[in-house]
Amino acid sequence: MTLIKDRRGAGPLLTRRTFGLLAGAGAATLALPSYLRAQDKPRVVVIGGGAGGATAARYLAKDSDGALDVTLINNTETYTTCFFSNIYLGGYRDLQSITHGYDALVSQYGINKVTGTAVAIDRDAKTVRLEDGTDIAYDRLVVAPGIDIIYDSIAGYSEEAAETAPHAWKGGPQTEILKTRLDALEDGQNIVMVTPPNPYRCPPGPYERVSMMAHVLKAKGYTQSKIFVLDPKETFSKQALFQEGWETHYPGMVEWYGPDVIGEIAGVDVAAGAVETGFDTFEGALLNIIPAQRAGAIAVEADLVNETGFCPIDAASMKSSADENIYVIGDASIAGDMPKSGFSANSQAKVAAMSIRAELTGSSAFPARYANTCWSLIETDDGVKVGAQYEPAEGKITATSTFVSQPGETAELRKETYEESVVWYDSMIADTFGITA
Amino acid sequence: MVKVFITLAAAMLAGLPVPAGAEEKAGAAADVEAYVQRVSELAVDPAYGDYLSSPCTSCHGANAAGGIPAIQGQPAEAIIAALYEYKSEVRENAVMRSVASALSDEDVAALAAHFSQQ
Ligand SMILES: Cc1cc2nc3c(=O)[nH]c(=O)nc-3n(C[C@H](O)[C@H](O)[C@H](O)COP(=O)(O)OP(=O)(O)OC[C@H]3O[C@@H](n4cnc5c(N)ncnc54)[C@H](O)[C@@H]3O)c2cc1C
Repeated sequence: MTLIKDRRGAGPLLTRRTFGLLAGAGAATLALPSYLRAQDKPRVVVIGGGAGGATAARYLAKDSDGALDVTLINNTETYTTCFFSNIYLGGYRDLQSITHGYDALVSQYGINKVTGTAVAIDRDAKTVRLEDGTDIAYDRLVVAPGIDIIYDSIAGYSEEAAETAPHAWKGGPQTEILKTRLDALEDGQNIVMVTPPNPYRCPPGPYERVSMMAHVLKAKGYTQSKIFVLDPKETFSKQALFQEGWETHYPGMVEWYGPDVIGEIAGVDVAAGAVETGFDTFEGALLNIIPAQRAGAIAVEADLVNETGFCPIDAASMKSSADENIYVIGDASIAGDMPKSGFSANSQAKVAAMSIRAELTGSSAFPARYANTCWSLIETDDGVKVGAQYEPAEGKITATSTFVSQPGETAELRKETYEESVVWYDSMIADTFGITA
Repeated sequence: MVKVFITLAAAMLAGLPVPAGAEEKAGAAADVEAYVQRVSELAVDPAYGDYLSSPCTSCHGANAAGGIPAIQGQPAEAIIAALYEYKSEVRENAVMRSVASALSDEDVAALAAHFSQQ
């Protein structure tokens, strides 16, 4: 019998191959985690316990009434959301309020939570290999690892450099570094932000962040500091709204430069606090460098990505185009007109869960419907939003009706829009983790 | 499903937001009543309602209050009326106008049945 000791001391784990031996082991079997016990139930394994993966696990467990064995693998004990991390940066929330655990998914929904990193998928054997060597078998697999940062897409940048010049494009420690450095700035010290090329997680995110950093500087009464935004894109999400907001609330503080002015972003020198472009060198006491992105490493490792670095899917189900037993949701997927957002990931998870239940339990399959709204905060009570409804059409997820806030809206409407976002966050967390935020 | 005629006043009583000036829209209330009556009579598949409701709960949590109302447990007729008023652009909210525009009458019936039974 091969028993593999879990390094985190969460109890013994073992490979499924050894299960036959253990089945006759009597009392020993009772001590096993449920995902290793006798299985006549179909097994669904979810890699990634973020906005997409946790929602998928919850809906699979909730709607199948115990008919499915659901295992959720996430590499951390708790999950700090990127959504509302800008609100944290702006000082409106603490980190605790955007950090959530998996206890309710385990206790109320019977989901097996495994804390560990999935390092490989054996698509023929239908097993997921964890970094400690454990294999977990699946009938259907949901891959929801989010994004990975492509550090070397910017010369001079690296994972190590990100300790000084954070990207803060993954939740948790990176966000804290950015907050600490932002709060330590003195009047007259500048921020240089490099924004990512498309496609990337949260299209309005960098510009909401600019707004929240400006809010912090303004609230401290700073008049000399500037935020330089160096963009490889000619236009950006909700541009008219953000630029109007910057002029209204933070006059003279934010300078945005597109590629027609700065040319290429030639590289960063983190020690010198400098970003070199085709036009000029920009210097700042705080560099926020957000490089290009691709699907999380496990999706690349399992060959689920195409040449774009993201995973093609079937728009009607979120099933991977590369493997009929695998679904890819969230930022890692190529979701047509849908932006890479937490709301999108949550919406895609529900379509995938419905499709998987239909395949494994014979429940009804309905035509896929998707939705997204991205709210952004520009200044206290000045909220804006963009969003759409989507359906599969023309071989991709296609927007059927879209909306966006308009420049010049009343302060009252902007406040209502912000208040919507606050309720959305709590509802979204309840919907994803089964808890009240 | 019980047939009840609904007016904007009833929607107000049900706690659903009613836009300023909506009462003045001549004929709107009568249209709502006719729509509510017709849609209330449509047959619904509860499994479809369960699925269709899943995007709603991303914003309308059971404990929602303030910026987004909780819709769980609202009378079916109030939900149908509200969705009709978003479809016909009597109500203002941009997200809900977009949501409602994508819903067929059968969808509205399924959602109303689902949320009224929460
Ligand atoms: C600054 C900022 C602001 C944002 N604001 C918003 C917003 O207001 N609204 C909105 O909707 N979205 C927002 N987003 C986007 C949102 O955070 C992402 O789109 C969303 O998190 C994507 O969900 P996901 O499930 O694909 O990935 P994630 O949420 O990143 O979840 C992936 C999880 O899988 C884990 N994981 C990865 N690989 C493995 C592995 N091999 N083994 C085990 N675990 C693994 C990761 O650690 C992580 O916990 C924002 C993002 C940023 C950066």
